[in-house]
Amino acid sequence: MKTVVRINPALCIRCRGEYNLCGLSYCPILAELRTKYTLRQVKGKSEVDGSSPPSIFVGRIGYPRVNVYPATPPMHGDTRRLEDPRTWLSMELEDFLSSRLSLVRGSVKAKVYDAKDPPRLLHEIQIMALSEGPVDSELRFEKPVSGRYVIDEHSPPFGPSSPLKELRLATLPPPPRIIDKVYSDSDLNASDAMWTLYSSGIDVHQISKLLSVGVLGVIRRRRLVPTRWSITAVDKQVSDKLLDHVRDYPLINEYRVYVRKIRDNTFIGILAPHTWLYEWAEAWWPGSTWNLWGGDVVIELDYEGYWGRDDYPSIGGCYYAARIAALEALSSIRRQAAVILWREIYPGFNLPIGVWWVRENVRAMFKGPYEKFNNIQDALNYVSRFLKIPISTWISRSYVIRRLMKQQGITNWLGR
Amino acid sequence: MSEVKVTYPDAKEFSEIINAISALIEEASFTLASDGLKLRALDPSRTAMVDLLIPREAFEEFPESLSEEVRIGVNFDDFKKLLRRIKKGDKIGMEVSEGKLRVRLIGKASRTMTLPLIDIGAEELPTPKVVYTVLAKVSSDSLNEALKDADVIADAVKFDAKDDGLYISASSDKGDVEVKFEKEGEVMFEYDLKEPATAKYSLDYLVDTVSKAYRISDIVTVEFATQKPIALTFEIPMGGKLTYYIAPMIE
Repeated sequence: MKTVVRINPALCIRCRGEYNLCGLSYCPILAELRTKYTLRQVKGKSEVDGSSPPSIFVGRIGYPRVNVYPATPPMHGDTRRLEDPRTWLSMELEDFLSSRLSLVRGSVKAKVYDAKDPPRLLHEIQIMALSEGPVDSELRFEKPVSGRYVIDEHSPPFGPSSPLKELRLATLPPPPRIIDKVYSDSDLNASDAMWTLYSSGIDVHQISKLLSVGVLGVIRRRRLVPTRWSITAVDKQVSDKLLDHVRDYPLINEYRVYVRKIRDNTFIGILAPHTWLYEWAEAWWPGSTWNLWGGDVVIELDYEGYWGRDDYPSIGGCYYAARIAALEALSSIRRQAAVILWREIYPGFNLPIGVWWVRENVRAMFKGPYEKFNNIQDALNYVSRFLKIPISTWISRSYVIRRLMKQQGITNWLGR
Repeated sequence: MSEVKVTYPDAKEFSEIINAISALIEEASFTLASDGLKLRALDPSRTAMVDLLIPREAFEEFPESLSEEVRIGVNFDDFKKLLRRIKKGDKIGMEVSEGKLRVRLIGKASRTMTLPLIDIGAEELPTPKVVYTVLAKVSSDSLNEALKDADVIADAVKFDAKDDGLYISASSDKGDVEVKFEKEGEVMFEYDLKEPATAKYSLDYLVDTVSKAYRISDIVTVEFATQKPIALTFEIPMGGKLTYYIAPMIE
């Protein structure tokens, strides 16, 4: 695809294919990508038979009347890695994409409020989502599979779809006990349900799937939640709970610097001995996913002080995906810190693959080695070696560094 | 210890005071002393301090004599949840006994709820020693709006006291904003400039505190000096006051 349209890259970075900020009726960034990956083996089929991990996608178009899509790859066996972000991290991006795009979806129209008292088909989809998996499934379609793939900033990719005529499920592996328990508890609110699942070791990826099919929460308030909203909702709610605990922990004793370089991305994490402050910044190179036509690197940054923030960060879901990873790291060492997270994205990385990419990379980074420093200046000198943007630019944009270096304590005036 | 009981005539106002304190702290100890109800605490990062006095005269009911000061340690999140039950026209009664705080909301019907008292290490705090060179009494609503304007642009704000008035400004790559409180202007009620001053403060602290406290009083007294903390005082009826002290940022 050749383009002569020049779009302000700041628009694309804020839009990420969601809001048509550029004014075109389609997102040229996504359009180009979609044509790249064709799926010959499933295209044109009117039924698919395979083991679903289980996978379900909930669309957002037409909300509150949405499409729910149970999905399966056309193969049998243990397909659960298709729903395991930890595995995705170690896959080549091309393999990850093609395996996810093999998840063929059958669409079912539903009102989001149907979740609390579902019609038979929606009920079966919910039961499928609750199962530990894999679930042997047969999807029969009204017409041959075609339609759009899902390539999205928030959700991991999904394959093409067709309206579902019939869903046949073989005997299901039962849900893990804790999942069955919160599903059956009609008085447990969604936020407590998420926390119960999380504390029992269920990953946020799976919790967001459960939230999206409307099986969590006080029964009369259960509803379907579009997949992309459910992902950020879970990252936010769980990390808020983690933060409640982290605020009670003592400060770390030193400055810690973490670095992770992977596939044209550099992630930097700095933990500073200060009460909770947090920032997430992304620097998009011209030619990277959300800055395809720009001439300059564009930095977007969002932050919060000790008390968190009430409004949605302009940068979107990545903010919370990185925040939960940072708070998990602090929880695991039972320490409090101010957290700086920066990411540089170079031109070779031009795929939107979902916020899991940020969450899993930041998690992996904090599990890896770190360097210790006694002051912020030394920490920044060290960091500058790994970044392509001059450290002075990063410093001038950083909220947390300004607070660390410039903010004085009131105790200086208490005469002790 | 025998039980101690106080009643404040305006529950709504009381809850707004609590709300304003909670902008800086999660938990703290009130002290009930013979001259009134007090609280002084630092925020967790020790950047700011809150200082409250509600004099005994402001209460409808207050112990005649107190053999010793009574400490009332509360978690403000829990306290606020309970205060959400307040109805217009309610009075609020508080009773300390046996490790509990019994809160009575007195209206058409009277409702009693209890909170566990928490033990918070007593930290005797002096107020900051600062010679302020500026004193400005301004409309609290206007100050709140000015800070919110600045918050759109930046994370810190500059206070400049000049001969012709108080300037509040912020700038970043997103733009610039400047609000002027003119000496003898409509929203400036008193202006005492000993010498011009300039200082920078974090909007995190200013916005959180002022956006809550401006409901307590229409007028806020702003005091600061170059590179020194700022004091923001909101008056409470009968001579009470709520003051925030916020440390400056280095320019």
